[in-house]
Amino acid sequence: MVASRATQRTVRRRTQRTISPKENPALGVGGQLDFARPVYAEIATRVLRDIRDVKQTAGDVMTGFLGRLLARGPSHPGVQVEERESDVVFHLDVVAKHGANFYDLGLEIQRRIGERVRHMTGRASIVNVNVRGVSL
Amino acid sequence: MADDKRSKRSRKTSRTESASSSRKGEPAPKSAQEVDDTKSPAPSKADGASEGSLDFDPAIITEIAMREASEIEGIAELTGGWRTKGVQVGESNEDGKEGYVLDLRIAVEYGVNCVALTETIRARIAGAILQMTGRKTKAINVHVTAIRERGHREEHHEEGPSLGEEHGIDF
Repeated sequence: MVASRATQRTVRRRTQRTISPKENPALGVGGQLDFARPVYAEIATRVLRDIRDVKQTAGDVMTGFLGRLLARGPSHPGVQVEERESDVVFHLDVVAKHGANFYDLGLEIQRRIGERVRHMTGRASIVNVNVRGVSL
Repeated sequence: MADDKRSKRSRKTSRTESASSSRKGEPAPKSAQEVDDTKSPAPSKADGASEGSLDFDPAIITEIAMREASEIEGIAELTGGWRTKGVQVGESNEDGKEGYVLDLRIAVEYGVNCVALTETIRARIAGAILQMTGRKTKAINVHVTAIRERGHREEHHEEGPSLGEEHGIDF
C-alpha cells in the first residue's frame, strides 16, 4: 500500500513537472517569421509545374525578362503575389493543355497551392486563376 | 630504536587527542592540506580578484548562430550581405543584458514546414547561446528570402568552403 502511494506520488510529480526555460531554451524566445514575396511566387510556380494540365504560366515577356535581369534570380512570370494581413493572394495567369476541364483545373490549382502554402508557411491563401491560353 | 618508540608514542598521543576532542563534540582538526588552504585567504571582492565583467562581441553571437543554423536540416543556406552573412544581432541589445535579438535571413529547402523549422531554429540557437555565453535570447526573427531545391546544401558544400572554413575555424 505504501509502495503504491509512493509510485502515485512520483507519477504525479512527473506529470506536474513543467519544462523550465533552461531545458528548452525555445520557451520564452519570441520573434517573427516572415516570407519574401518571391518565396510565395516560387512555391506557386513549383506547384504549377507539377500539375499535368498546366502547360506553362503566361507572363508578360517584358516583365519576365526585366524581372530576371533586375532580380538576377528566378523570375516568376504570370504569378503575382499580394500579401494581406491574414492571408496571401495569388493572381495566376496560366496556359492550359487542350482538352482539360478548366473548371476542375482551376479547383486543383487552388487546392494544391493552398495546401502547399499552408504546409510551408502556415498561412492561408486565396488563389485567383486566369486561363490566358490553350496549348494544342 | 629509541626514536621508533618515541614516534609510536607520539602517534598514540595524537590519536588519543583527536579521539578525546571528537568525544567532547569539538570538530576534528583538519588535515595539513586543508589547513594550508585555509591559510591563503579566499579572494574577496575587496581584493578585486573576483570582480570583472564578461562581454561578448556581437560577432561571437553571430558566429554561434551561423554555426548552429548551418547544421539544421531544412536550411539550404544563409542569405545576406557579405557583412552580416545572414545573421544580425539586434543593436539595441548588443550587451545581451535584456537578451539578444537576432535576425536570420535564410533560404529553405522546398517542401519544408517553415513554422516547425523556426521552432527548431529558435530552440537550437537559443540553447547554443545560453550554453556558451550564459546569456538569454529574447527573440529570433526569421526571414525566409528564398527557396532552394533539396540537396542544394550538399552541392554548395562540395563547391565552396563551409561557413567555418571561411572564417578560418575548423568544425
